[in-house]
Amino acid sequence: MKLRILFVFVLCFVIGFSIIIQSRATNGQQLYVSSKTITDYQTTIESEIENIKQIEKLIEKTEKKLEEYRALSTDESNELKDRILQEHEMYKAISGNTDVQGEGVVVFIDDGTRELYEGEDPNVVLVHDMDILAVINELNRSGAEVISVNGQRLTNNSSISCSGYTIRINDQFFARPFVIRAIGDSKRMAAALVGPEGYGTVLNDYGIIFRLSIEDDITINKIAEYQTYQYMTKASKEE
Amino acid sequence: MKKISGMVVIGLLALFIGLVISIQITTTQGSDHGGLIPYAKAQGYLEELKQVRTEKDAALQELNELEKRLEKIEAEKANEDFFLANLVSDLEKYKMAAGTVDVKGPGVIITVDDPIPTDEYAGDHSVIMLRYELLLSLVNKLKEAGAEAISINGQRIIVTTEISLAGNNVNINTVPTAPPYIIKAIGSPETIESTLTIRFGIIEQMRNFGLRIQIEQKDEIEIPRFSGILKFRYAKPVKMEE
Repeated sequence: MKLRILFVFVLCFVIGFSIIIQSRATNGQQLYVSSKTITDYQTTIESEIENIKQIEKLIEKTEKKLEEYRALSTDESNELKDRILQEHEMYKAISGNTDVQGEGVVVFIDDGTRELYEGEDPNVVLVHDMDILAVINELNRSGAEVISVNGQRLTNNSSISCSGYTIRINDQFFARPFVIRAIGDSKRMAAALVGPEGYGTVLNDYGIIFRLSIEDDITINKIAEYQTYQYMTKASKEE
Repeated sequence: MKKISGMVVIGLLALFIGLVISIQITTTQGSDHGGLIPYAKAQGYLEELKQVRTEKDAALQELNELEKRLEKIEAEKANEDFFLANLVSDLEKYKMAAGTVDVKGPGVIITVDDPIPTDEYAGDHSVIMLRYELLLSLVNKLKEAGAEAISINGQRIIVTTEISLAGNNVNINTVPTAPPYIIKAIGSPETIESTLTIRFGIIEQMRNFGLRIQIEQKDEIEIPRFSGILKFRYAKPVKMEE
């Protein structure tokens, strides 16, 4: 009799235990993950390492600059002022507040003129904001430094959007055709767009008119008005 | 009598054990999609990631320290010279517009993750990575809604930022990235959220691909600076002819 009670007790114990393990395994975390999760982790780690490398380069650069500033600041001459002026010029150009010139490509995109097949969607031969965005993305990928669309210099906050028959860029309206100018490594940009798998070729295959020319001297104007920010402020690192 | 009650107990126990075993089997089957890797291994990667991130924080801190020292020298000089003071304050503004300053402000945080893997859809490729143009479009929509600063997985989006598929990765600012994508945008939280969630809008488009998306409005978010090196090699300022 006693033996049986003991037996039941042990069994109950085992069952209770297994239920706990069960509930842990199911509603806590998974016991197994898919291989994709692992590759995602790997990529993220790779990405952070890449980022650290970038930051280390920046640190190196800043250290050099600091050294330079220190040396210059003891002088009575105006050298430090010149150095700051240089920096000022550079950031002015990068933020789009200076007219710039250089070699690059001019891309001309227009709606297709070919006849449609029966029942074909006319949107296929029309230029959309996504097409312009993709071309710009492709240009950036191949090292464009400054880009303008129909004369509008693109900035960090430029959006491009279809609104009916027109496209709005930097809050100004434009209609077809679209002329994108990009300053940078002209050969690389041209190769990326008009290569066999380039986006320009893809657009041409759809029937959209896409022309690209390499030019030695392109001028891109500065932004029309200086940007002011309403929401963002500098994050100070005071602890 | 005793014998019967004993049988009942044993019977009940057998029932329980059967139930537990069957539950066990279904749970393991449920998570069976593609090659299975023990969670412990993933945990290892998670640890490594944590370690790398602390390393990154340390590097960032060092950079901030150096920049503060630079600014101090600039400020000291600016105190003596009115012209220089103007120059330095202008420089600050241009740096802000170029995206090389950490910024903070109200905005939204959007999380985009791949669909939950199911049996018929093996989770070995990423929907959002193959459809990276959705990210491109999302960024464009954010800018249209007046976002002043945007980052994706810590990468600040500036004018020359590319989002491109390179091999199996989506590169942003030439840094490989992986889901889940966390997109931060500073601007009017209400305007941004309603622009994105409009019917047939970008969020709905993305959800149609099965992507899991969450939008959160925040009173204050921080967006890191662009951490690459900005330098014009081809573009030169136009010389004014006098």
